[in-house]
Amino acid sequence: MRKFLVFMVVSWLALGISFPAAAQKAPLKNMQQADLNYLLFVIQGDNAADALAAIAELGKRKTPESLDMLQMQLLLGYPPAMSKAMIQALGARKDPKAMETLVFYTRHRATELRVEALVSLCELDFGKDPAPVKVVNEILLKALRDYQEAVRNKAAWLLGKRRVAEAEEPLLKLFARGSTAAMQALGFIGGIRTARTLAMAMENTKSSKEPLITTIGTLLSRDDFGPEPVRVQLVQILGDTNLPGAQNVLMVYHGSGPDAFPRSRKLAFQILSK
Amino acid sequence: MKTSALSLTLFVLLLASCKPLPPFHQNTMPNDSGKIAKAINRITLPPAGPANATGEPLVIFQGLNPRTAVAVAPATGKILWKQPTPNAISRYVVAGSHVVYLDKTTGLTALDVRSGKQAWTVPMRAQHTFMGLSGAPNGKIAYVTNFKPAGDPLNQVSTVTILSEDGREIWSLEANGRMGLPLMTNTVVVVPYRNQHLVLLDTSSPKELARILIPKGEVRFMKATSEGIFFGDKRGMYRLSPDIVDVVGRAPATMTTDIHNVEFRYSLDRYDPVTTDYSAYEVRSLLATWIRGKAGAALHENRFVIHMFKYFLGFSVNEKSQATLQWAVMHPYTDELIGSTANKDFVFYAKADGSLECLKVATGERVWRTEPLGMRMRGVTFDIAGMTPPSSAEVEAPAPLLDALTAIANDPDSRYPLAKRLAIDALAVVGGAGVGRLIKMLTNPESSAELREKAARDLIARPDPNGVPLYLSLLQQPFDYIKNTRPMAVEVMATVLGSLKTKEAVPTMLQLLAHPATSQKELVALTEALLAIGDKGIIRPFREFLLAYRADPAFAQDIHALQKMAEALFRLGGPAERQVLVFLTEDERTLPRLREYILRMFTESRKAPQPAKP
Repeated sequence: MRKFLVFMVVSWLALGISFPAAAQKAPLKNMQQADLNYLLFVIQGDNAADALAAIAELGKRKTPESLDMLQMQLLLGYPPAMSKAMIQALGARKDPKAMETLVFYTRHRATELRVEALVSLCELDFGKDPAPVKVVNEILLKALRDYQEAVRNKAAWLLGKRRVAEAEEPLLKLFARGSTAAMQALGFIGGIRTARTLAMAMENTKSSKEPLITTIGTLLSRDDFGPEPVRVQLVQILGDTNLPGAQNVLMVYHGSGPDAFPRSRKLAFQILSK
Repeated sequence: MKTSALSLTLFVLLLASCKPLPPFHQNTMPNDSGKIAKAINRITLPPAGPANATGEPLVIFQGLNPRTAVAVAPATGKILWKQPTPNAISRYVVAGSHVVYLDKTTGLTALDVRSGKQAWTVPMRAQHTFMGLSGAPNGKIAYVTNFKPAGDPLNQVSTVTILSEDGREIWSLEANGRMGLPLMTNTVVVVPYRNQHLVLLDTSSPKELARILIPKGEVRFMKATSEGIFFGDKRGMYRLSPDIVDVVGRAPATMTTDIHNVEFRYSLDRYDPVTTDYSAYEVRSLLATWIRGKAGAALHENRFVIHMFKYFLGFSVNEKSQATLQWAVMHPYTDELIGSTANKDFVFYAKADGSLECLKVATGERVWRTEPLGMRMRGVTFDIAGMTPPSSAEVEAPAPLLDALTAIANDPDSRYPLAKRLAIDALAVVGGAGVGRLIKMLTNPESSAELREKAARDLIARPDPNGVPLYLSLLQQPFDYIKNTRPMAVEVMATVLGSLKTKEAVPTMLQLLAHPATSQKELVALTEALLAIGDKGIIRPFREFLLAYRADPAFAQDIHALQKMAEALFRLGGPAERQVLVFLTEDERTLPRLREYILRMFTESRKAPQPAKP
């Protein structure tokens, strides 16, 4: 798809397409009524604010032509602020046809654009097709190894949100190197290994406890986290921790934790009752 | 009567005019072969063995704090005697039955060589600067002092004094100009004078026996061995012989080497006042046993060793006087060496802990050592001529030469940059540093910056097609923050592959080009390499890259890569690429420097006639 778009860009340039005279009039206050050519004119104009508005409008449109235009402009190369707006607009469209273009931007040299491309990629709606979802997950997993912290953090957050179990191992490695984002993401996908790592981290006097407690709370709130003995251990660790955050997590867990784990919830109640 | 008186007067005047000039006189004609030959005949060369009165090898350490003379029998490493010398301000010199040094309170002081007990002292002249002393096997001592009236070096006066074994002054002579540290033998003292002269004097009476002028050099170094007296400067060494007048008109015996930064310091500089005491120069010299050769001075077994602080480098010399490095030895960080000497097939050296060690000159093997003495030493005097080390089961072979040089170049000890530079230069010359080794030097995190730079230069200067798999393997390392890996030496590898025009490297280099973690410098190197290779497969990736980053301010300061990509599209691309370039020049968002570059390319192409495309 991207090759087709690139071909279109080149052909467009080769044919030297010029804008119709009708498009060259004073900017409308309401972009919603502007035609595509006019939006293109504004995007290519000098007014940055209008250009951004025009890009946002393209993001709201539903037609395939508007999507192609957005992608073509993105591939023509704009300053980072405008490229970012276009990437966000593609994400807002949720159209899976934008996948290749966004994948291209997940490898952009600008950290900010890589981050936006990852976010927009995760917003695309692939329906029930698991193949592109798998591709996106692979890209996110690869982004965990990016040398820029902002990219790693965003990838961790997105993987946690998407509940990608394969991310547990690299996230644990990032956590071991001090990544708070990885720790938080582990709360959403971690299993026994994560529980053990968090338990050991709680014993470490040098690490800050509150983020760990929050992550343990996230683990406990999940229906798919277990088995029960692991939950019991985590509850006991929280009980031994004399911090208000731990008390809160125990309260929430006892009150609204998954029904399938009554023993650990009962233990939470007992600890709180002491 | 009148005639007799006149004749007598004339006779007296004649006698006066025939009176010999005093020693060191400026009108004395040098290079009188007859006088030189007679003087040389009178010289008693040192014995082949130790010069001290015991006849046994002897090593005298100077303890650091307080200064203490520590006499050691080198064969066993055992202390023979100790004598505090807290006010010693010179090195110890062995002279027959005494060990002599300068004491700042009492003057020249002699210790008995057998017991260490103080034997005699001789006060120094006030306001005179001590310039050094030398001892003969028969116990006679020569020392030089220097006096500058009102600190004026132009009118300085040097004094050479000869003392007998019991410290009595035999004679003393003054001369205008500078004298260097003399070399004492039993019968003749050789005094360097005014840099270019050697004045030979009788030790029994103040008579100048002969004078030698070195027309195109100086006398900075002198050594006396059983094979003769050798002297010279950094150009090389001569051997004192009856035909020396002819010999000094020619070039001295010397060696050349392709390795830079090799210092040929043949021994202590006789004019440098630093050498009156122990100094860093004790561990920075050329160690060799000089012998009588066909043309004058020659090296025993055609070998010498450069001692540079805690490093030793062994050389052999061929018939064309070309020196080739054979081995290298490096001592650990904690080892501090304080002095060394060559003794035919061996180099002996002393450490600050009072231990002695020995290397074989031919191979660099450490063949012997003694135990530390439990004291910290600051200097050492060797009197071990003719000594061979006791046989030892502990023979330690040096590391292979390239490994040893690499270790020296990478030594984290930052005190000796000169030695590291020498090792790096030696690596380049000794070479055989194949691609694998150069790449190892380049990528080893322990390599010093200088070594990495040298390896990079060598790889680029001599690209090896057989190394392509190695080059590619470095570039194919993934960018992985978790595993802490990234492609290595990208700039160097790209440059090498570009110069080899390796088409198989194109996909790897394009992948690197597209990766966000590739630095600007690496981008430039990759772009230039891909352009040099000229594969048309680069057109599309370059076009996409140009379009993606043509308006990116991150390239505003360093736009070279984009310019090169534009150039590649211009040279290799077709009409579609030309249109892309036209678009870049017409769109205002394109970075100005890129736009100008492309416009200039178009303009120049219109001026020059286009070559026909194949």
